[in-house]
Amino acid sequence: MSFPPGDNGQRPRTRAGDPPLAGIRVLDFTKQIAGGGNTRVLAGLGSEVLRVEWPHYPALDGLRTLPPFHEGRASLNHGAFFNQTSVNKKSFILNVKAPGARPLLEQLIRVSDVVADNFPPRVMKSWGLDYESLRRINPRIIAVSGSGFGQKGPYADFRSYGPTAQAYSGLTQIVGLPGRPPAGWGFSYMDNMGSWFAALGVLMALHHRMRTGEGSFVDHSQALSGVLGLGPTALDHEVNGRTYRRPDRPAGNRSTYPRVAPHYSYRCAGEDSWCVIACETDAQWDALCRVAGRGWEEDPRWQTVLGRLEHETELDAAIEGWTRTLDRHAVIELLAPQGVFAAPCATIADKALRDPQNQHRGTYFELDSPLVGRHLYEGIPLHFEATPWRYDSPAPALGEHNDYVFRGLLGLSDAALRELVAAGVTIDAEDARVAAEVDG
Amino acid sequence: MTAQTQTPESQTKAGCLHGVRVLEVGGFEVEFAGRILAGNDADVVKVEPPEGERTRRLGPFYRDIPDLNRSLHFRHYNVGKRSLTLDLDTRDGQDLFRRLAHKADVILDGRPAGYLETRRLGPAALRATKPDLLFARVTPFGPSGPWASYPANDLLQLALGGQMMVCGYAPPESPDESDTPPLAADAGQSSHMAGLWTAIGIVAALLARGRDGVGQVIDGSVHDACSVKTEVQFPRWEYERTDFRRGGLQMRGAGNPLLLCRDGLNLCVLPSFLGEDKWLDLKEWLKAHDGLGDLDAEAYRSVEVLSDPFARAHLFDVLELLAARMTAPEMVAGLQSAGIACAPVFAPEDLLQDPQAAARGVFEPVEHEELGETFRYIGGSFVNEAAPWLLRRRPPMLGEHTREILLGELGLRSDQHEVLFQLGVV
Repeated sequence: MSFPPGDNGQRPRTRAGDPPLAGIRVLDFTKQIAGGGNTRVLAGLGSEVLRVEWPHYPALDGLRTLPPFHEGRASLNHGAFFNQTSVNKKSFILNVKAPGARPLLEQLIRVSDVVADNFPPRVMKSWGLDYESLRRINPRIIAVSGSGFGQKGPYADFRSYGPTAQAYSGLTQIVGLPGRPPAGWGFSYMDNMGSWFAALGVLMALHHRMRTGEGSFVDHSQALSGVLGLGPTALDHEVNGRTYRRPDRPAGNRSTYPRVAPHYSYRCAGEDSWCVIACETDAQWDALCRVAGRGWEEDPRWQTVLGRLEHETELDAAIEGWTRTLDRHAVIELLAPQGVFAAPCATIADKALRDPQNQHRGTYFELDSPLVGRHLYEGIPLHFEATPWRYDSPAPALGEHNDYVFRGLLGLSDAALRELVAAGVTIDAEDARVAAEVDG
Repeated sequence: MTAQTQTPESQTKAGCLHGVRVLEVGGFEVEFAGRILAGNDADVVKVEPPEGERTRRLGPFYRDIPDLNRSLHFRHYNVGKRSLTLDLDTRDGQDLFRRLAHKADVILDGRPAGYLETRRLGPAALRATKPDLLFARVTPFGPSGPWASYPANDLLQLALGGQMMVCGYAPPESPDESDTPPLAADAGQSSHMAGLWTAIGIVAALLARGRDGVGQVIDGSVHDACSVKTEVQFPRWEYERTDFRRGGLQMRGAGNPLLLCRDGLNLCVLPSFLGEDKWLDLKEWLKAHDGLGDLDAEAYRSVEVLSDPFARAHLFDVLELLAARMTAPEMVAGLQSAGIACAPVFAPEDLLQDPQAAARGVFEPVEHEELGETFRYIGGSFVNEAAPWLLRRRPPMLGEHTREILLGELGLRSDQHEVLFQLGVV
């Protein structure tokens, strides 16, 4: 186990060109993707993220227990979601509720910049780790709490996950076909977006601190952040009194603003294989007609945008008659170089393996892990010219960085560490490994 | 902050980006990012072509009358910003842009790759004299690569990002059955994903500049942002090659059928991550409302039964019968008191009446003095009382701040402004 010699709580030194958050230390109490997604961003941007972990419920991060597992190996260390969400993070084991933990926590808070959690409100307070307590220990600290509905208000205690947050915030209602109940999302859109908004909140608070020297508290609500996804729909009600619950909303894959045709999803050759095509301009329509070669340009119904809108259903049927003969990946290469909006409806495999632009941009990266082997991960979708982001170490085994934290950062002796183990404040590495296997 | 909770202090407090000046050039790809920055007190100056940014032509419109100054789309994404018109195809326009860039911290560029370069306004040109300038650029696909020149819109981005293929109703058993296509969400989600990441990149780069004193280019694309955004579906594919298709109960956590309540509202219930205690509480509550059905059977004694998809589906059958007799608020109050995650499926307008949204200050009143009206705009995301989100000004009319910026900040004379106006530069 290596750690910076003589660090003993000092801040890591930074050099020009280090990732943007190099030198920032995050004490990470987050759980699940909704919380871990936040610190994953902070970790990729260069901060040192120290996960505070305990192998038993309720303190255990349930994300460590979720399948699928590497080679089917159910353990706290081998889950797909945990590993994907925890790259670059460090893990140490601390029983926050044990009396002996307090001085260690206070010492860590003093040498940290950010404390992150996504517990229901009051959990951090019950541990004496709410923002008011934290700032007494370190006035420059930035605390970020993410919860379903935030720290205040009549629903503050409501339980919520991604799907319920999406339902509440209007995001479920805006996915569907006209005249049918909402379809909602096939994944937790707000686990991603919410945790990234929380990360943005931390970055903003760091900027505020850079400007004023002041720490602050970021109270994030997954459900309420979802409201930012509504675009102008709420304003349309506020200004024009228009309800979203009307026969043409959601519009499915038909256009809304601007209203144009064609603009839809079309079946391609093969099972459950789809593409999208849209035209706004005459040039795009002419190109589509030319490429398809089916004489659509001669049809009197489809000469103008207004004509195509009047006869949209027939137009979509004609286009699908053509796309059914095509591989979905062929559609983009046939039409996009001619300026037409066209793309396959990509499966996950498509975007990971078949998308040449993602390959070119390095949207996904590979990383070796002693726990789960070599895998593909989602990167940060930004290219920084001077201070690139970096994911260079795989997710930590439970307690992998006990030594780094207890001996390195806190400067504890072997004897002191043995006492902590005896007092149930932490557990040693071998016991952690066993606990990880058993509790999985 | 809503009217009810707004204090004089929060009106005068500076936001997190107070003092940061952003020049925004672009539409769909960058306006949400600029909106986030403006909401955190950056001074965002939107540089529009004399005919107005393209997004001014997008509906809906104020009282349904199309006009460059009545687009609610434009208003929503540009509230809090200032507007300056400049024809960047003229040398005078380019010169003024250069001078403005000198006073800026960030150029937020949503034009096609090369647009600013061919006008000698790219990073190389501007940083020659202002090395710590940040250049955040967002294009549909990035400046290079096989798809770099392809056109894109929101529908296409959600198709390529994989969101469509996992969203929608369950696929039909056979291709002859009714149409259940992959679905794109409404309301411009690809611009939200790109905008959020762009804002993250800009603030991160501002922090790096504070540390190292360096300017830089932050290059993002809408396609990049959408490609990392299908949550559990990427790891599921990576670990078990599960190619999840839309809808259904097969997905843990998100595949729950909606329950139609007596008042016509749909309800989303998520009986996941329950302990035995919550399971007991739930059954107690159902029993108290005559809605337990056969869940008192031995098979349903332990919460572990819910890992069986059939048992889980049956729980939803039981809940559905009760929902038909109760309103959504009654169901939510009862289920939440038993510790079950649930929420009504709100339409966008419902949030405007919601007490939690009010308590969080999600909607912020913005005065339109030119109309004599005040409208509530979606304000911020997280709450930070030390440095709150704020909307300092209503959305700008086309070129509304041209004169104030040219004369007040660049020191042009009134007669020079007149020359530029007559030539169509501004």
